[in-house]
Amino acid sequence: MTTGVVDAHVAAGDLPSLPTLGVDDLLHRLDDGGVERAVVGPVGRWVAVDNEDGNRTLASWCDAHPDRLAHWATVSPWYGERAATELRRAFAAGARGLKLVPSVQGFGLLSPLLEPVLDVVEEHGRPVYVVTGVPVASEPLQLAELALRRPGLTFVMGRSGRTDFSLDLLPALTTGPNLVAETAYNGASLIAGLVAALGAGRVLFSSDVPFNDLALELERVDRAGLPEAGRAAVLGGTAAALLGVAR
Amino acid sequence: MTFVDLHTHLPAQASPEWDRWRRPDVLAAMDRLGITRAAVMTLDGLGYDAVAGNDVIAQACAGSDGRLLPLGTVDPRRPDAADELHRCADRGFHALKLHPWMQGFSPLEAYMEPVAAAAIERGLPFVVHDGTPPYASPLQIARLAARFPELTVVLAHGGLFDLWEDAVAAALRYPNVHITMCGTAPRAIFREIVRRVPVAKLTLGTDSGFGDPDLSRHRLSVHRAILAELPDGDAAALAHRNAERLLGLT
Repeated sequence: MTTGVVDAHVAAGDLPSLPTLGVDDLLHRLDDGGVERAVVGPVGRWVAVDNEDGNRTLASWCDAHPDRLAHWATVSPWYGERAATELRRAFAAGARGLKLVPSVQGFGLLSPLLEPVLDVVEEHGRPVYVVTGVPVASEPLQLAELALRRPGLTFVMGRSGRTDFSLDLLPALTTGPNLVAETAYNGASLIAGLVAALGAGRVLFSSDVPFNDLALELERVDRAGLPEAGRAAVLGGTAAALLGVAR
Repeated sequence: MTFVDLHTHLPAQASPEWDRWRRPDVLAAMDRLGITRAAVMTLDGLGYDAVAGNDVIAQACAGSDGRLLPLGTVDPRRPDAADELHRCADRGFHALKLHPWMQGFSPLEAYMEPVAAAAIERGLPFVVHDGTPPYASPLQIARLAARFPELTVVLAHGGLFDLWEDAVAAALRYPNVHITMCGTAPRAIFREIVRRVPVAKLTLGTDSGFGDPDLSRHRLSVHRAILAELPDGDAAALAHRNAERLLGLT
């Protein structure tokens, strides 16, 4: 096992037609890939409708494996005050940040609907992971505008605007210091470019397992040719600082 | 296992990659990856001048002993678009690449009709960028295929991340719609496309020449993992035989 590798986003939950992993299989997958710790994010119905069920399930995984797993919680902002209450509960139960999937949860990133939820996140000093790349609801420049509006929050550009917002990615990420990149789905040269543009302290390694290939994503980081300190930050240090994941 | 790569690009002339592009280097890289032949598409011809782009593609592929397969393009809005398609066919191009958002057209607009008719006449398939609205949604492109049942239409990316279910639906509904598995979507999505769509309709691509120089190696690693799960005959069809048939090589 490569000491200290942290995967900042792996997926858990059921999506039609796509694979899912229970906690034991997920840990085996991380073992096989040489990942020491992972931050699990909900997908599927846990994102769309059953937020609390997903948040509690992932918290139970983390409680059982505190040395290996942490998790993102999600709430749909359409639940209003219930969303704020659930998010406070989830943070108290150990969630490291908020995950949002605007295209699934049915809101635009610049909707006022989101503000009360973001207030809760900011009160707790946690980051926000946003799946970007779906037009209308979650474009990279929409997240950049949100980051300008909310300078007290840090936002992770989940999925890097894939696809076809690759041309927007760097203009969006360089909008302000409170935007963080992830590596998943990016080639080695772009990973090197992200580190050059943002600094390794704003680039997180992530695999998006089980949809994506852990070993191949790690190989892309290796091929980015980062200096050792930068490589260490991308593979774990940045996540440790942003998400409070001990290494 | 050898591959026919149905999706590569000649770098844009304004890019640093253009200065480094050498035919022997490209062929040597293909050898290292097990790619016997590759379809080569323009980037500049999509954004600037289709005719000039086609001329450069012809030059780039000449002298490759048939390993670099030229694909042409036309600007469908131009009244002489069909003439340029005929010129591509006359010089031995294997298909026509179209990119709705780069070229600024919808596959459902009327000026597509003479282009589609010319493609049918000359037996050239359309390879159409898909997966990103507007106007490159798989179902928009599939309606063009539905209007021209004799036209072969390849969805060049299988719907990418968000519209792969639409690409599957299009391939299942319309006999003349095919899919190239090429893009940033993860292996789990490609695996599901293979599970649902008859393998005879599927081909592989890397998008090499566009963006990351490591792309072809990475994407072939994903493709190899999928091929390893298939019976030998299906794997060979997906890896090269279907592409050879689509491009008129058999």
